[in-house]
Amino acid sequence: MDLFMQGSSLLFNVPNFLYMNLGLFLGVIFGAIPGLTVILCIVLFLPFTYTLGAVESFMFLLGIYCAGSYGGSISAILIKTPGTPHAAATMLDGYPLTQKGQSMKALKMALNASTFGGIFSAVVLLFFAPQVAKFAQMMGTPEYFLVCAFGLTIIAGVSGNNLIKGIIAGAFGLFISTIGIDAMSGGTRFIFNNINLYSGIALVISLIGLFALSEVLAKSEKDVVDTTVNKEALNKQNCKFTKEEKKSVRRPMIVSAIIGVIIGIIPGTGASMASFFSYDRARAMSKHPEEFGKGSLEGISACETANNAVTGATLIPLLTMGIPGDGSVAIMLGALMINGLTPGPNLFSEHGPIMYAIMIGLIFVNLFMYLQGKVLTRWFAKVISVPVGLLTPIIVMFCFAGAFSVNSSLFDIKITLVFAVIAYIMSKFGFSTIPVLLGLVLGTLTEENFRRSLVLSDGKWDIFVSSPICIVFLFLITITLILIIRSQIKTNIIKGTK
Amino acid sequence: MKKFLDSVDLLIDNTGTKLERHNMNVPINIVGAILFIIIAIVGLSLVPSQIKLNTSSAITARTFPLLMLRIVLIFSVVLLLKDIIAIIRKKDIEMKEINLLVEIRALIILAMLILFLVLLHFSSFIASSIVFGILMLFYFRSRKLSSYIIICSSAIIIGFLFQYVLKVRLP
Repeated sequence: MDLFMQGSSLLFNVPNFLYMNLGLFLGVIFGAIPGLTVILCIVLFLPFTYTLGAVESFMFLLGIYCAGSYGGSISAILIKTPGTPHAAATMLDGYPLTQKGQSMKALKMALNASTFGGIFSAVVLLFFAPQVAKFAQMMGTPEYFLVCAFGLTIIAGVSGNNLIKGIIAGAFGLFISTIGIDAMSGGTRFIFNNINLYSGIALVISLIGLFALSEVLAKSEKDVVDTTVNKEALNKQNCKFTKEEKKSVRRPMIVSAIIGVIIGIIPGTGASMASFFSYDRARAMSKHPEEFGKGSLEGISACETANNAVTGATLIPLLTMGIPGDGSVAIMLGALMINGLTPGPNLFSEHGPIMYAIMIGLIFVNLFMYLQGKVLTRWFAKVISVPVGLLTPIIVMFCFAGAFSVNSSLFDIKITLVFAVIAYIMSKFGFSTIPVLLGLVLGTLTEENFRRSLVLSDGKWDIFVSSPICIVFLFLITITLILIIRSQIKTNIIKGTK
Repeated sequence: MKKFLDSVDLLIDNTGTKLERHNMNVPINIVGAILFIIIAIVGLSLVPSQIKLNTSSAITARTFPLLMLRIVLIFSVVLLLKDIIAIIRKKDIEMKEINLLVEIRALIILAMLILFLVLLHFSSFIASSIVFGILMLFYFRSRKLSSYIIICSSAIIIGFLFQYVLKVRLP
């Protein structure tokens, strides 16, 4: 209770709420515009958090993360193009409602459901995370190395469609993280006598290259989508729900919130899985399953509740053990590290008030998302018509200024360009860049715990099977690998029969 | 001016149509694996010169990067062998169509990014951004005056935002 009060007093400051709302505003816009992504938004604005405190940074980034989840539904509903991958399920019923002239109703339902899902998961985070953190504190260096390995295995397995490629990309990211001065021996590694590489490659610089500038290069192959919105029709609509409509969405929303939280806790699963799974469940439970796919409010409420219920749940493994569930959260992990907070089991014991401020803050992030959505939905709906051709140069300007701001060096911009080319080539050959990102984020922690464990055991590898927690994590890694391989074999068989 | 731009557009369209026909089917797993094998071998050969040791301990600064490079090498070889075996067994392997036009477009964007970087060595961030922004709008074939005004004002706003709000000394 003491930590709760301390966290509250840290949170209730005007700047925290200002940055939270700024993050929400940007998140909806980036989520809504097809071609822009939540990861891109977080990467572009990460340099802004350098001058902010830990809570302010996290409120800003959480605002982007949560609002991006809702923002994706706007373009899915209005122009049949999901702004984010997990809004694809929302599109199934959202766009038919737009065709019926009820787009505002669909947007309002998406907002209500997103807010409910978000608040539900924030409350779950607030109650569960401290309990998980207590368990996590029992872990030593070998256990923590295996936790990192577990996170990397899941991300390597689920990002992209090939486990081997995921492992290669993850190991490549871990290797890049070793560039610079070795913290344990003080020697240099792969710096090629270049003074700019002494402190290694800053996370922000690599992220800007991997996720922002590579997207700019990828604009060479993306077709221009029609993003025209019928603005007049939007302004004239009545968007009040009937009593029956309100009653029909209650059950799918509650069930979807639970599904979203459960799926969100499992690293690497993500919001897309949660929204499609919830959609399927809602259809199975519905009294009118025939309406699904033709403009069902139940369908929209299920998907949107689930994909926002994931947001708080993914923070449970992140804040308690340092395992990021997806790419956006991995970048937030980087933001924690920039603020001097080392993710892992000791985060709650060393920075308890900050952790509580973040968890309580997530509830308010969702409340303000609702308020912004209420007031600005019509405006947000118009934003999606902004041509990507106009936004691309602006993104590049932000990228270059952001990369330069890290060390006030043009060399860093060169590095971002190298990473952009690497990401572009990797995507051409079917390699996902998310495992590289995770390797970069977890690199230092993974290596530190790996080497410390081996030093402790005089180089004997059996230290990684020395405790029950180690064995549990090894078991989880094995099970994960088996499940991923099985599902990929199944997919290949299905492809083969087609 | 309009006639000149129209003729430039026509020329680009005609060249684009010709290039669009040039497609190449690439076995992505094989090429990707070879690329990573090269990276891993180069990395492994550089380890002795790039990581100097001042200890005789078994666990050193080389341990982790060596392990990662070996993982990259081993799994790349596995990826390569998997597809080679599939070819021998006359099974389908993953192919991707690489379009010459798309790659040339990507190279043009990369060239503009490099030009932006070069400009930053000689002029201010705002001036370089304006030049880059205008070039990008040309690339996207924007003819709206409003787009050019938005890009120029964005360059100025971003420059001031970083310099005066975030206190970053931009070039």
